[in-house]
Amino acid sequence: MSDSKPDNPVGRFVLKVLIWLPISFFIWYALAGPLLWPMQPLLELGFGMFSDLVEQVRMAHGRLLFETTLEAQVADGRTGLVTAEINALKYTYNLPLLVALLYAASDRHFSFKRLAAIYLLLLPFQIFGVTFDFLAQMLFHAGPEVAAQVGITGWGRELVALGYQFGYLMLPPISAAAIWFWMNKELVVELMDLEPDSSS
Amino acid sequence: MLRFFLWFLLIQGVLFTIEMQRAVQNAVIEPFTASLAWISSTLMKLFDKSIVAQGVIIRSLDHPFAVKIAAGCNGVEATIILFAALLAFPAPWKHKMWGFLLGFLAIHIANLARIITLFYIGQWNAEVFEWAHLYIWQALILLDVIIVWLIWVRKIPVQVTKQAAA
Repeated sequence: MSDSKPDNPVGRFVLKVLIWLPISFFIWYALAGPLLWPMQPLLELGFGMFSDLVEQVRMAHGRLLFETTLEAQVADGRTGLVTAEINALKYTYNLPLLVALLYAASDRHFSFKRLAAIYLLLLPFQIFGVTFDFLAQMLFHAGPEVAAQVGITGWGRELVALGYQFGYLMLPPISAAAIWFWMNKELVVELMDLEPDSSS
Repeated sequence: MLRFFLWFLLIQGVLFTIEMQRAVQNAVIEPFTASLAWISSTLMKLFDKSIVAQGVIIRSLDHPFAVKIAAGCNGVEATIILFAALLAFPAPWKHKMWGFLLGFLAIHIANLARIITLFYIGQWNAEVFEWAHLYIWQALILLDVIIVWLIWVRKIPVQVTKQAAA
């Protein structure tokens, strides 16, 4: 089989990905603070534009803490403001994954400009995931009293549930795979030309 | 290529929305996930007699740690991504069917390895478990999808791929 040849491009690509993955994940984790920082003002801005649900977003190594304006009563009868903690790394691992995939595909991706570009390209998908995680926590896990204050009902709740699942399960891999494919179309074309007609 | 790309995005979105429907979860996804737990535990019992599977939960009689196979850990989303890529790419249907079958096997063999390794990593170290569960295995499963798709693309008859590349 041609795929077992040492010079086959798929094998070479996989080997390079496996070398780059631990390196990119290590750097991503070490730089998690600065890499996640832009999410904080962007989330505050986004929530501020559409609602007054979120008072402030704070960050502590890889976790975003949402301080909300929503009120909840605790067991002793006192009322407090609800907070939500989200592990933002769950939504941002597509960055080291994409870097490893790109570096393995071609040397031309070794550039700070490209790194900055893919960081910016992934950011909206990551913010989508975090936003729906927050909304899902408020609607489905913080109790009916809090859910009622959010003001999303009926189909809106279904959309939040779907958006949360999509943002967590699909968007991180899909965004990495789609951007990788789009930036490496010529690799796919090269692969297609290599194999002779073997279907007949 | 643009056509493939847009079809891929559309198909994966549609398949995922179908997967999320309660009726599909009850009739297909949950029994499938339980069968994964059963297969994993059966494999583990070959070398570890303390393993017990109850529905989608796998636990050990010797250790308090247990794993629950949930959405995202059953390989269904990875299968959706692969199937969307196979469906969207122009290729003969016979070729697509081989892709579905072999791709499904490749993803779920890797996923069984994920479940089994995570179970033992979890018994050993909670922090490493979180890393392996949330980031590393997610990346490896997507890599598996990409490898299968690239190998599949290489096997497409040349005259079809020339049209696709145009």
